[in-house]
Amino acid sequence: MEPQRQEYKGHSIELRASEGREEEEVRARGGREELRATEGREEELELLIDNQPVRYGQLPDGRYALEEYAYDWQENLTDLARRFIDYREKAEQIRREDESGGRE
Amino acid sequence: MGRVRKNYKGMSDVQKKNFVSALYVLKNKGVVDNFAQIHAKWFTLGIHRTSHFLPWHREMLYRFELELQKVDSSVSIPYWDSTADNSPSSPLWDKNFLGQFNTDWNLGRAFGAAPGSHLPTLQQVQNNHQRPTYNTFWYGTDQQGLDGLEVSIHNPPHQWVGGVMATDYSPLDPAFYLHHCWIDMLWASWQGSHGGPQNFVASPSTWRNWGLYDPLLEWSDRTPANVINYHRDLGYRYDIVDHAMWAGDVLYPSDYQFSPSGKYMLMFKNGILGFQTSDQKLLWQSTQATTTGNRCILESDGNLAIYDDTNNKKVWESNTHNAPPQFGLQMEQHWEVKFGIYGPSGEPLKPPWSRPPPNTG
Repeated sequence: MEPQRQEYKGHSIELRASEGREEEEVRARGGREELRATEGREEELELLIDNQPVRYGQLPDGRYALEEYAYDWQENLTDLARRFIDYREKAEQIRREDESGGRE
Repeated sequence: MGRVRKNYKGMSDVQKKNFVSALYVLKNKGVVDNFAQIHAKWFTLGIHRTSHFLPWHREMLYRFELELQKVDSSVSIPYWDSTADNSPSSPLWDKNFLGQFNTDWNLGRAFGAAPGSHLPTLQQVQNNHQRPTYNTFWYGTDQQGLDGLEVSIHNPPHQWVGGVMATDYSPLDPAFYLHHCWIDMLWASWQGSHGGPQNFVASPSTWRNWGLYDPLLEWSDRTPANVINYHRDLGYRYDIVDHAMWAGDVLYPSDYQFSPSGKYMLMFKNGILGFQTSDQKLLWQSTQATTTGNRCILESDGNLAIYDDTNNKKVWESNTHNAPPQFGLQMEQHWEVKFGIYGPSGEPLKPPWSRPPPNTG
């Protein structure tokens, strides 16, 4: 996937080269088993929403999952970022309504 | 060992209270956070989208349940059937059950917030149950793998609950365990009707084609082969899937277990073991009067006994001993009512113990 930047509902979504972040982190943890499990991965891009990094991973079938929105698996990382923005906004709205309605 | 996992709706208030208390203890000890961390660590590395999805989570739940039982030996993980229980106003989310964790553990639930959020339907579950092979069952029939258990039935409840439950740290929300217990039960049910426990194959070879004897991530001394026979090897059973009690199996107060047809059930309540129809018509009971018994167990020699563990006293027993290997307490044979203790080929004990009649004792 190529680096790119776009706007979505007033939020910026950016993909840029990550300089081997994941492998460095795994090596730092000494995770041999993890390295075995990550073999053959594509070179990673960093995902930023509103200039804040959003952590994600790639499942064995190549689909992407975000750490904070982990059960919506998409082939396109930008599409996934858009869905995450929609989810986050709706979730905030629901929590506000619950607070004002007093639901636990 | 030998506990029943059942629908949370069948739990008594005491059982709910005990389960919730045990969860708080595990949270304070850091066990809940530790399990969540393990889950997050391996999230994209092979515990999803491979054939190890189901066995890995089965092992995880088993280990978590053992931790719960260190706190309270009568506790087992209940399940949440999200096809039937599909509203934020369901008793599942009551303040005295899972609702309290939302604020106490800062879970940020936001029911229905995810785009296109929905829960699985009974029709989806029934269709999936018909799938003839393990791959088509958990992964699906299409190349994308979007219509199998994992994506179409397992993922939606995570998204529907939202908040922490929608993240890779989802085991921080106790709803994770009730949801995955149900997923495990669906697998158990499928195993029971599709060629038994041997029906397990590796993922398609283009991915990680981990198979029956490949190590599970995190617990490398364990493989799917260790968890396939959950009743025999892990010592738990499901209220509506497993229809016999085996040696070592236990019923605690308010526990029940259904017969294969669903027409009959065992119920342990008020210190009495009862065999009854599913609409509560009593066919047999261990004693007429309430006892102080709080644990009913089928012992290794074939004796069915009720103990009062508070006084370390046996309050009732069937006096059936010298049972053949692999015996079990059955409710039906060949779809006909036949309540009693039988050997593996249906042969009765010598002397036989089958009820009714008489309808007591």
